[in-house]
Amino acid sequence: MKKTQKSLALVLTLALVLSALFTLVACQTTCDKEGHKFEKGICSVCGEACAHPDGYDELGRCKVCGTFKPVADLVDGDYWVRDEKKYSYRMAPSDLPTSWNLHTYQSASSTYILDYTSDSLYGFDYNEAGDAYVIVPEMAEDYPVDVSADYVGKYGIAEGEENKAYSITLKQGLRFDNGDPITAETFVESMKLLLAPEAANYRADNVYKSGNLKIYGSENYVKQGSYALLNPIVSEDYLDEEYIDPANFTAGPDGTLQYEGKDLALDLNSGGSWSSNSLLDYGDAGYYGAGYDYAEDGYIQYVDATGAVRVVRKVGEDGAPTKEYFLPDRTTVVYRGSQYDFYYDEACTKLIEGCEALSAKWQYGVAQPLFDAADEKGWVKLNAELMTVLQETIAALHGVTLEQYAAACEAAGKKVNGINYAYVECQEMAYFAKEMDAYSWDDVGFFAPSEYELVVVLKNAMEDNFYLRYELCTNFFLVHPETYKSCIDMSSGLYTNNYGTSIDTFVGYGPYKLTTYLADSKIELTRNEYWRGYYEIEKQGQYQTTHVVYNKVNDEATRLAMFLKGELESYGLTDADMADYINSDYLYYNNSESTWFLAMNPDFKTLEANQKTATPVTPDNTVVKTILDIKEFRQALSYSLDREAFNLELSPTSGVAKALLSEMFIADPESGSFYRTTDEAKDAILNFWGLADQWGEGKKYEDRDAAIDSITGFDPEGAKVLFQAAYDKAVERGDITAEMISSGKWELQICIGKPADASYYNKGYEFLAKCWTDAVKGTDFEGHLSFIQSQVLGSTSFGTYLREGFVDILFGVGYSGSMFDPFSFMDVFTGSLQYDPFTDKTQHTLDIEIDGKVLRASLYDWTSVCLQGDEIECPVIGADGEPTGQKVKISAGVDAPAKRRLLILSSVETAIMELANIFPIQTDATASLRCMRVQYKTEEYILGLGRGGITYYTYAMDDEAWAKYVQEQGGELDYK
Amino acid sequence: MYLFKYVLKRIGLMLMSFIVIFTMCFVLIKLLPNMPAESFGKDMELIKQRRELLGYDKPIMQQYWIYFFGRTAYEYEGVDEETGKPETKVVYEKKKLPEDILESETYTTRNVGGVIRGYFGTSEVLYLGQDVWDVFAQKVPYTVAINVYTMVFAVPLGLALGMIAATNKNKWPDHLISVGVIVFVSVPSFIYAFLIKYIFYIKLDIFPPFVDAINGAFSWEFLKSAVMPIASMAFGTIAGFARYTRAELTEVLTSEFMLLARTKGLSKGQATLRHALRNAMVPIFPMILGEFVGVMSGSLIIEQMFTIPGVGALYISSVQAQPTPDYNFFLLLTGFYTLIGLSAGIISDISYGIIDPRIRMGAR
Repeated sequence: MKKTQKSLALVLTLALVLSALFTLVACQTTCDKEGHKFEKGICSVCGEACAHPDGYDELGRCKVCGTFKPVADLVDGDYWVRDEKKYSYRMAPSDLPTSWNLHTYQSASSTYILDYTSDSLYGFDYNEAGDAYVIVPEMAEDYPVDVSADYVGKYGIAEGEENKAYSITLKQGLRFDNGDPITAETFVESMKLLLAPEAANYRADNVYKSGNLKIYGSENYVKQGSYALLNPIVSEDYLDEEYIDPANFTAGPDGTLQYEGKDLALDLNSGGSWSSNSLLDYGDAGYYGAGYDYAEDGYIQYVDATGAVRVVRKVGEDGAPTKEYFLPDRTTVVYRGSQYDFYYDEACTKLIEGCEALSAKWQYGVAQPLFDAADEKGWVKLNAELMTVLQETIAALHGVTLEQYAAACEAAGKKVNGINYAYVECQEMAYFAKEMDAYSWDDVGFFAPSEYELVVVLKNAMEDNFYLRYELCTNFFLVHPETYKSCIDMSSGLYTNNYGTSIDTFVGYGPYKLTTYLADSKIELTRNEYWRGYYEIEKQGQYQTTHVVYNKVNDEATRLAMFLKGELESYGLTDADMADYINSDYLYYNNSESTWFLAMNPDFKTLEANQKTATPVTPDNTVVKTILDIKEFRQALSYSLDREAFNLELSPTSGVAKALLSEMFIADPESGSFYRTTDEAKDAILNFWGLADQWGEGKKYEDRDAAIDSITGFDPEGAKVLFQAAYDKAVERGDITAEMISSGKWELQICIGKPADASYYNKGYEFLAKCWTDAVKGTDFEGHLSFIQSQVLGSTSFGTYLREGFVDILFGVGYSGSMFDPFSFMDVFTGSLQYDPFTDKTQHTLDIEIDGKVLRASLYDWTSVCLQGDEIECPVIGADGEPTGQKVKISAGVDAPAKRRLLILSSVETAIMELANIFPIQTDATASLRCMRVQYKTEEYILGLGRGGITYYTYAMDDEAWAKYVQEQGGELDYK
Repeated sequence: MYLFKYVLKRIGLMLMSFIVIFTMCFVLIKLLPNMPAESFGKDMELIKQRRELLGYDKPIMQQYWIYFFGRTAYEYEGVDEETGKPETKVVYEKKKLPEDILESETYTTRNVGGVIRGYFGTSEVLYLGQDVWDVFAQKVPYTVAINVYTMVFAVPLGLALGMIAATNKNKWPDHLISVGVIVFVSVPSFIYAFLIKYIFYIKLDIFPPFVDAINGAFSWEFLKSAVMPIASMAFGTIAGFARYTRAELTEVLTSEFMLLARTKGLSKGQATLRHALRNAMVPIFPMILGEFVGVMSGSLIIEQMFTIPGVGALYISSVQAQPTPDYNFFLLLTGFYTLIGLSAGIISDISYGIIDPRIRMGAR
């Protein structure tokens, strides 16, 4: 028995040894002779690296199996990252990403992973001199080529059209960090996943709305199956044949009126063919549609639809209209606030009751049923009843009832195709709507004609200039399709996707690969050996960093301690730290494009409403708020704010902001010149601050720059004068009554909005309250200013609360983005994102002298139409300030002369500041300390590149040597 | 039998309370402003499209139903567009069925998702795209671990100090312990945390400034690096237990049955351990139980100070999340903590009967 056991054991041992040997031999044979057995550079049997004898191509890939040469086998020349030492770039932010799915991410912290694990077709790099940026191909082999001619008749490209379709050739050998190849088809597949209608991915609009590069058909694809507004029933050309006889409308199953299978709908947020004039806008601004004429005594007469004079406006001695409005008796003043608010005066309520009915946020107004019927988007499906309400509403906008309006149109012969205009005018505002048809992916302008060629068809033509290449500094939301699809889960009946939430659910393709991840704790990235950049000779000397490590640390004190112990490569200084490190050799300032503003509510109506419900800070006091409606008062608040002291208290790294646009905006992206360095931009500042005529030879200031440098924005004496002027006006118009003055029991209460928990805003509130309380000393406001704060606001959308009139003042608000295109950016001050929607920018006009002619257009038209590249028609203004009757069409898009664009931009900038509803306060700048062992590429901050970033960071010592060095210094470094 | 009936009754009441609390929370959170603000270059229609897919546009009670019972899936036999092969297709709205399928009614329905099928929803803000239960389950061990370590360290120490103080009443050990107790009960744990961190990281550099959680909550690395948070949390617990134990034990030690025990011939130590301590534990044991039940809720500040990836901040974050509250996290945690709280009450009450058989729960 024993002998049998021994024999069995021997046989088994022999079999094991033989099988092991066989495996080794077989593996070696496979590796050497079989080829194509390697996967991702590793033999699938024994785990050995590729050992094919045929060598590697110029990209470092095996000529037989195409896999990359592993780092361990590299020799000089085919993989330049040679240093085997460890160089860690370590940071300790207070927030780490929880999701970094390129298609859905919403948090800035997601970039902590995405920036390192992604690549782009084109990218910013230093020019040869190393002092400015250039855009260079990255994943792309070369610059884009216009191939529009090849696709005429498809994707909306007409014969002869150019700059609509671009071909981009990809570099060969692109890989994901798991070794899988990246081809043009991978980009296409990723785009299809981005635009999946069932997902409605957060970033999908980046390819059809955000930015200038809009992919043809992408919006139709993502919105297929959803209910969408198509186009206004009547176009902006107002062609007679476009108006539909209401008798031809049919009722759909749910009662919605239809025409040719399409629903009729209204968008409360949009005016349809009336451009930006939506019902919401009219609700706040009022409207006289019938026009005006001149009376014999020189007054301008505003008439309603019936021709009745409602209000008259005084004309000044110079012939220019003033802002004084009266009832037709020429004596009863009705002016309140801005020129379009006059109908709020009680004296004329009866006369213009139609407009009054539309006021007060639509409560009790004729349009209320429309607002009640609106869905979450503000869309109203129009049934017969609601269509009548819309017609009545439009009549009310003309200041009359529908019957009166119809009679007036009848009398004036205003008919379209024989139909009374009063009944069809609403079609200029209403839309056709329908459930979007299915849209084929084949009709989306994003496809791959070959393995390495990607074609992008644009909705709007773009020349191959900086802006196109800037937009192409993207990866088009490239994801690893296989992994991405495996992360989609519809089992609950809802599309969910957890791509990019862990190491297992993410595949990158950038210089670094995610190797450690624990949510809310730590992320670590190491070099991605499959990244093409490590095989490109042009990148030699870059990316010395071998590891990127982020540890979550919530408190500043620990972060600073870690930095001083040499455990971090950079430290963002707080206000409290500035005094200690202000003279440090390692201190760097980082400016951003944002400007922080003081934004005020100048709207009499909402101020009056808030005033009625306000609780006085001092019991028994009468609360007054409407004084904020007086321009002088708002100006006084601005001039009495010591911006330098404000910065020192709240944000010592910030400078005094003197204009809407900061110094970081680029006027000419080709040359990289800054907008604020142009004469036009300097004049915008000087005009606003009243120094336009105080510079030059023999004057107070030598040049523009000297004059601008002198501006602090702080003029306490001038502010007192303005405060007193505002007081006098307030008394004159009855905001402050004689009874209030005699009793002394009144307070001008200002509600400052701020997020509940934020040191900046807490300190800012205290500062402003004290500053303004002191500023009114010596004026009649002394002792009558009170402040309250509203802390119920959220942290990211509290601007809305000012826009809706819930608070009187916001501070520390602003915008970011669009550094390379201030012309587009200006739209935030006139479009839907403005903090001052109370002032109707379509009615405020601005005269600009262009090519020897003074042209007049509204602020909205100059900014949101003309500067965006669309044409506007402007009346030419004569020397007398009146229209000459001549009209000029003008646009100022990318192709327009640079001087014209700058002139319009700077003029608009001044005009918006002069409205005195939004005041620049602070520039946005941060300061940080650089670790002693790290060197930046440039000391100067270069737009688009910073100081070189992780690409160019170099280390004087590796981690081990550095730790030793820090210990030798006593464990704590001195950065002071 | 009394106890069984009592427990059943309490569980029934607990479920009723749970439903009322949860329904109130569901309605209230859904009433909060929940539409992101318009931002530069964003297509609000797309955001609304996603919200419609999520069902946020539906009436609250309909959302409530979906949350618990899921949605209806409509399945039909279709053809794969790419391969042309027949396949079963699913849509989640009846109106999205192809017209021919709808007319011929050749589709089947089944319900999917919903709490009753173990689906608590997906995070739309804080942990975008992730199943909220998975995230919670991933984070809970860290919170439990740090609390359990604290309890294991603090409870025996607290009891021991309480016993020492009680048995040395009005002597110097009692005075010393009592002063310590007052100090440590009065000062919140994050103050100790600052001090401990300052001394042991910034000055002495003995411990790391944050815990090493990469290897899991029950790893040696975690325990080693968590000394500072454990110590910070333990001071208060030690002091609390010491105070209660001292008070209870002092009272029991003066009881007549203790005199009897001593006259029986038991030593002071024997009498204290066997008789006094057991009686003193009647009110203390539920406290210990309560502490253990509470370990799930975590310590918001300590977790944040030492970067412990637990659940401490999750509940508050789910309400404060921007641009909208993270409904599913809030609802899951509301349900979870409500159940924990209600269960703790029942367990605590029952435990009285176990420790002291004279206490008969549910008996008349």
